[in-house]
Amino acid sequence: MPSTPRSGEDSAVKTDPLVEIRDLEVRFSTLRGLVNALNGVSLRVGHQEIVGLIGESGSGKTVTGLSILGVLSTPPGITGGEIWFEGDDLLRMSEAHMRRIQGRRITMVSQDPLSSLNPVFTVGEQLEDSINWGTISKNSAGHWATVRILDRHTPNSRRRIQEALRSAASRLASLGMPSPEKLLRNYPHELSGGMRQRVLIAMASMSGPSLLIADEPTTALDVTIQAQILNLLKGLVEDAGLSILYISHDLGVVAQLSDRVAVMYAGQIVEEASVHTIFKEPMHPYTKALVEVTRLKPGEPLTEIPGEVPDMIDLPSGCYFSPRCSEVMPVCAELEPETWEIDAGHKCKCGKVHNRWKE
Amino acid sequence: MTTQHATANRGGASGLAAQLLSDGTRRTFRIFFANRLSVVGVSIILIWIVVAIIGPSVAPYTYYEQHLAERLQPPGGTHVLGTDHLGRDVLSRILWGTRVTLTWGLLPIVAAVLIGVPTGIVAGYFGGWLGVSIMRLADLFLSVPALMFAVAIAAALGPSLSSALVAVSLVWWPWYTRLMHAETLALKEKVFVEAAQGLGASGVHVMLRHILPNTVSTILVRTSMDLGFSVLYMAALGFIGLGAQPPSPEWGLAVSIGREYMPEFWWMAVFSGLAVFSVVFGFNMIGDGIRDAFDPEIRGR
Amino acid sequence: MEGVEDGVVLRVRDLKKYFPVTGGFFDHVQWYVRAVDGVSLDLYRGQTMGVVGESGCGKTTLGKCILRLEEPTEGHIWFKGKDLMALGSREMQETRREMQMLYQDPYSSLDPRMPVASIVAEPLTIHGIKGQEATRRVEEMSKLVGLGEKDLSKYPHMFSGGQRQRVSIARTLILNPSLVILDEPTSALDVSVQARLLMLFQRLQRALGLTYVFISHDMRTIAYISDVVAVMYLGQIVEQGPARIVFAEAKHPYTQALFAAMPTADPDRELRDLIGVTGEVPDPSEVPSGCRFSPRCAFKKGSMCDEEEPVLAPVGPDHLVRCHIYSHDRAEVQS
Repeated sequence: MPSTPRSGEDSAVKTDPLVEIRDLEVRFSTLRGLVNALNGVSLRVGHQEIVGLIGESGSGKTVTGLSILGVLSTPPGITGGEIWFEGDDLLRMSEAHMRRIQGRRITMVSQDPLSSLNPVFTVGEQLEDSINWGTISKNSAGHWATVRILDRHTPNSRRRIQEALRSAASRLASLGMPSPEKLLRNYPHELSGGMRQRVLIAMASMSGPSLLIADEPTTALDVTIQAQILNLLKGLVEDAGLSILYISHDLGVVAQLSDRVAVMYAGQIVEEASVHTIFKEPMHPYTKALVEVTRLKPGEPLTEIPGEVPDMIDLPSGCYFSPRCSEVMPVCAELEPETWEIDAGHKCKCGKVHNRWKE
Repeated sequence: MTTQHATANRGGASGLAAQLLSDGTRRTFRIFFANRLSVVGVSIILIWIVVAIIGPSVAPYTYYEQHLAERLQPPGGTHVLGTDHLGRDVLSRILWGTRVTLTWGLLPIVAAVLIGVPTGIVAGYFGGWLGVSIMRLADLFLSVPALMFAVAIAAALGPSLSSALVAVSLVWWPWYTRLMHAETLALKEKVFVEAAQGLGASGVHVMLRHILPNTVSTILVRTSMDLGFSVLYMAALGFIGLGAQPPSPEWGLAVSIGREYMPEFWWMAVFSGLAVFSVVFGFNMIGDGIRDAFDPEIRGR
Repeated sequence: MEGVEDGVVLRVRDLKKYFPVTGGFFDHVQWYVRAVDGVSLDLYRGQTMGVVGESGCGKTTLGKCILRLEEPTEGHIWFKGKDLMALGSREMQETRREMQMLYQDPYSSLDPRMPVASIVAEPLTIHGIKGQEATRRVEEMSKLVGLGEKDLSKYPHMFSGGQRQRVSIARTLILNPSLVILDEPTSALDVSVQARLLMLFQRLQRALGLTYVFISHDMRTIAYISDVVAVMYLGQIVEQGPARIVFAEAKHPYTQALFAAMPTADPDRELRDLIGVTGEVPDPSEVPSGCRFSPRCAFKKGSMCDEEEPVLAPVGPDHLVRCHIYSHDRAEVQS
């Protein structure tokens, strides 16, 4: 399979993307009030592409991933928008159809491998199950995790499973894992964090998904192990031909791994462009500030972003970032800026940049 | 503004009070009173508390007055709830009996908390031979079936309200020890406890200022569930004759005496029994309500 | 007595902390986890020493041992000339006023049932300072760390992670310690908040004359904030020296690997350059013989690495490395 090109320029937006989110709105009702978790999120993920979704805590990046998977539980949940995947709108699909997609065409790995793996079954047994059955549900701790859901057991599945296990073993072996067959006989708690994460990734890719959502999968891992996992994920895109939506707050990881990047703030995407553009020529003030802050240079004063993230129940009028923006103009507090494509494949939601506002 | 901090700054009781009245507490109250049954429970208990306070003043008769000419009269007329075998007004006896039954019914829990909580916390915090000894002692007390144990102690001490109190307290304290031991073990691992120790805090300081306040909700839930049963246990001992002694208007004793005149002269036993039932019911409803109000899943919504 | 030199706030010699692992039928000691295995360092007033390493390297245990929150198994610690190991518990309690620890997790390091003012005042309460004096110091410290007056009566859950760390900092500094051990103080926070806190740490250091031991797994943070740095692996320091030099000319293969594995916000850097080290971070209860890093080392010199344990030897002014590649003469570091 051809490897994913990592072009430095913004190539023309791919026609017929794998995933297209349009104006997604998500709200959660809590004791304190209605939390506006997502406020009109639009995002595209192409084929065999790694899209990095950056944001700080509370920006809504995890909620976005969970929405695609259709596993939000707090009501009301998704209140508007569309999510197009392989030609269907996931939000208007029957439950049965959605279940066939969850855990098979779209899979997820998240931060804590230990709560995602069933402690009483060996790793090999769980890998086998994930091929046979699907992989996404909520475990007893209330975390979104890879567990099992029902499916039909087809006659040639035995053979499929054996093949898949063999390929999983060889994939693990190719990444320097000693004796992968022995690994498959271990229980989750006998493995290190890095191993567990590899198992999870293997499980998530067993069913041959088109989209793998990775929600901070390396945050809890040591940096040397993280590097191995990132290479593993990159390899998956090339070998298995899938796309990855990589959700993280770590700009460094996203910079190394992604082809394109979307930056989130207060439940909105404020900038979306190729990874090169985002890091070398960012346009949105928030993106600029984030990139600056990440460049910790010894001896130089650090850029600060003053203020705090807004209260998601009581969002400010106009641009949500305006109270903290170093380039703010009076109109920013009144009107919400449009998301405008300022260049091929480069979208920005800043009125100062493109001077287009919502009525 | 400075006074606010000053309150928080002071160690000891006022500092403790400031900690307890956080807005989390306000939230607990809100959830509690949203529950209809809790409100019913609180109303019942409040009514009985009022009765305990003013009962003797508003009762038409005293609890010991005998109107032998009007013995065993059914409810109605001058004696609203009837009279007992000695011509004493049943209503008045119930009103007078509220104080005795409630106070003595609740004292065992107070004693159990006062004994059980400190021992449990100390056992959990220090561990080692001290902890083990305390817990084994608690196990010893727990190994005997509760009511039988209470009966045995009360019988050995001679029948009286104070013996009953001692008996029920001795039965009850180990539950609190166990509860506090488990809570303390969990809290000991928390970083803020470690931080306090790192600051040079003594064990007493850590236990009083960090561990105890964080166990208050657990204690409250447990206590509220236990209150009803404590009243019941004391009444039960009174019923057997090992608690309150005649002529005390204590309800358990009244049921016991009234029982002998069942079923034709039912009103003595039945009304006293209903009084006990309502108090236990009320406390149980409060207990459920408190437990739900502290339940993290319900609060999280 | 060592360490009386002016300006040496902390001197550690050959510190060891072994945790016994019991097992078997009679709970006898089977082996030891050698969490800290012979660490020596000198720290001058006003300096920041960065201690960096991955999980299991012993950096947190080292921090706790310095404060005697964990009792060292062996070794010496001199704080401002005083031999800490020789102090009784009463004197240690007194000394603790001058050496404090800042914890990583802003969410569990504060008692959820205490208002902020009480939290910040607690060290004063413990050491007998109350009333007007206490209130004054609480207000002063809160202002210094950037907390408002209104914040003092609030409870921890009302604050964000960054603000909670400020409360933590206020509590840590209110007794005017000379030495502060910061155990991953920014790791649980967002990047923009981390930056602000790091700047606050530096301001406070200048204003109050503090000496820091800054523990982290994040090379970037360590690079930014440290004057001197120590890289730890499996309980030992494998490279040590002025931050500028270590970061410009890292010598030890592990240090180099840490750099190589660290993602930078540079999209031009190829992912494959982000090499992990092969294998897993090993279990500190199963320390390899010889050089501890040799099973994973890309520059292994041969059987010597498996058999002989290298010692810390100088490769430049104040720059020490524990590796056979550099210590041909096996010059030992003088205490």
